[in-house]
Amino acid sequence: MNSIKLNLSWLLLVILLPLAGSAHAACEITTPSYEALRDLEMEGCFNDKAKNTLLAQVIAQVPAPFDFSVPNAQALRAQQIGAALALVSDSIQREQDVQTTPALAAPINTFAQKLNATTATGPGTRQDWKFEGESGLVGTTGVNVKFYVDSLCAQSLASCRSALEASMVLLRAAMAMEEIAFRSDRVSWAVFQDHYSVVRQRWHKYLFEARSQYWWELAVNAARYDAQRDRTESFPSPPDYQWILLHPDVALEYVGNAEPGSRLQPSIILEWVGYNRWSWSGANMDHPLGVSIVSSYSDRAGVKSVGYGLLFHYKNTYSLGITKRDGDTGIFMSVDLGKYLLDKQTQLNDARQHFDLRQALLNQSGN
Amino acid sequence: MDKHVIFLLHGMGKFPKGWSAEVQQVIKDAYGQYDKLKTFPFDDHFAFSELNYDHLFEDLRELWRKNSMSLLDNLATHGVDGSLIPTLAKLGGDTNNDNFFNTHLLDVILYRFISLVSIPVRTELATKQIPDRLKDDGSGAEVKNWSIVCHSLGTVVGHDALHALFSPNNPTRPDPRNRGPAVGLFVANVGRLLQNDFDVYESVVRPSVQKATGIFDYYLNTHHRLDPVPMPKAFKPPHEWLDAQTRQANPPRYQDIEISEVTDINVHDFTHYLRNPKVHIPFFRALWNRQSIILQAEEKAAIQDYDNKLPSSPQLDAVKKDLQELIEKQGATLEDFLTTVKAFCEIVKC
Repeated sequence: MNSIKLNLSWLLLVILLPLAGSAHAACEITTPSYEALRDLEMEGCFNDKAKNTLLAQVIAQVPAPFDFSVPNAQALRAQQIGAALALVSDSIQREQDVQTTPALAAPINTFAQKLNATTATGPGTRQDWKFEGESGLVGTTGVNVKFYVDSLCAQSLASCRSALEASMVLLRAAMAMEEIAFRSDRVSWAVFQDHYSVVRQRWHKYLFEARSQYWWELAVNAARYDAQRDRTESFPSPPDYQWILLHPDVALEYVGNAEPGSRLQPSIILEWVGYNRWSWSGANMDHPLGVSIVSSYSDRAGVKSVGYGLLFHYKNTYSLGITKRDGDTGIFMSVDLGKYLLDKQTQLNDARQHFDLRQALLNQSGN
Repeated sequence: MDKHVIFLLHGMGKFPKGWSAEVQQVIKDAYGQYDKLKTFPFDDHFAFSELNYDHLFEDLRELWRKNSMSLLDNLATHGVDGSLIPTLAKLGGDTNNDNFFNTHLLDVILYRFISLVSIPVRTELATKQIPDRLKDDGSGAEVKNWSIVCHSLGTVVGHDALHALFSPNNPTRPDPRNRGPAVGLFVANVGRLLQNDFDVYESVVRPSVQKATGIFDYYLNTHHRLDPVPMPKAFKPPHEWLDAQTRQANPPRYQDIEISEVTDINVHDFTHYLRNPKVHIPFFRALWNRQSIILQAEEKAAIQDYDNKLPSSPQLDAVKKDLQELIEKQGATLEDFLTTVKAFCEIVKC
């Protein structure tokens, strides 16, 4: 007998549990209280278009994204927003028509007045309609749902239910208004992002496509940049120049008076100070040009190992320099240029061997 | 139903893609502890989004490493006289060694002092990573509800990105009344110490009931008594920081949460903060904008349970003592801060 009772209890539980769940899914209040209303809020009864048909209708009226570049776009959008506002007004009007509890007429009328004002002022912002559950306030409408629910729930169960039902109508309408306000705002995330895409690309180019900067060069350039910019600006464009300072690098240098076999060699260069500039054209760096005072160091037979001169930069990648070593002239290019011409270090070596071989052959034929 | 997106922003150190997996798990596990929240499952209502700015620091270090490697290779074969070039080459390349200075302190120094690094960082976060997640992904709907959790260096990075985004000086700013975040949880906040362009007490990164003076519904600031990182120039906003209406709001829209419980020697760790119910309970309540989502009795029980499980060992006691001494000696300058962070990491072995 006991086992039959137990089985029946389980059966009842199995049947009732989904029913309880569907009651929640249907956004119905089971235990009338303000807390129950907040549970419905958390379940998405107001902000889920699948559970708030008014919200779904509004979303259908005001599609997003909206292309403001098409002809008559503004008029079309205004029309869509107007139609959506009319839907919300209708829902509130219906509630006004059926509302029989005098205490609830006041908040509904207050909400309706705020709604009517939107015909002149527009839908405002989300904040104007946002339900603040802790205080019970509905945006800036002047309606406090919690106040009405709590005071009517203290009177009778029937009044409490009426207050909750009226509140649900108001909150569905408030959420629909939030959506209209949100969609009316022309600065969407995509619009904002597009606006700054050029600045973002410029920064990437400045850091990784302009001539490379060691941290001490970044520090010097930042100090100069900071002295010139408006520090309240949100997303300033990067500078269109860079100072070069104590920048060591590797270059391929040719010294004609060195002994055959050591005329074209990799050498170490130090740019003591230099300046590189360009013009920003959209996200592109137009005509980057620069020059540095430079020393070059190489260990080669027949000439002094240190030379001094100038290094010219073009397009941030190609550098060509000239140095003097006790009257001997050295021509050098940056390895970046070498990479452009030959691609790989091994190919650089091959080229040097080939060059030296040609020199040897020329010398031999000269002799 | 649209999910509420929670951005996670890391602090100083190395943070490859996927860095936030543990942080996400800790938040989800904490969320699942509470009765009422179980009926509103985390994954049905919230989604995480990981933010990352460390790649920019890493790319710079890699650039310097490549340059100096090629240089040092050639130096070896050239026998260059003098010490300047080898010194410079070493200075450039040293930034890529994975030592504590490079992976932690260098990030702080670069961000604080070199605007040519801090501006692209905030530009990347505010104009790329955040909008990428919030904009319409083709479904016809943007994300409307979002929040952010920042840790350590990330508190100032997040502050700068959010202020730049919503500042009235930004002519194309999204309207915070439509697109502002709901909750900001600032863990081990170093915003005031490392502030640069934007003063943290003057910026729009603050709570405001009507989102008139600030962008958040709730701003939660949390720090640990034994964590020296957020202590110098601690974030303690003045009374006027909140507008009159926000000052009167109940529950408070700005909450300063100090914790002292120690479950692990690294009291600065992101997850060490988030595991603490004194931190995550206010966060969950703020996310739902509902105090009763976790009842006071349940909160009390969770804190008691957490206290009961606190580990105790002579080793842990020794670390606590060392940290206490470190904090007592700590100065208020950035230099003191860097020295302290280094000493802190030696104690907790981070």
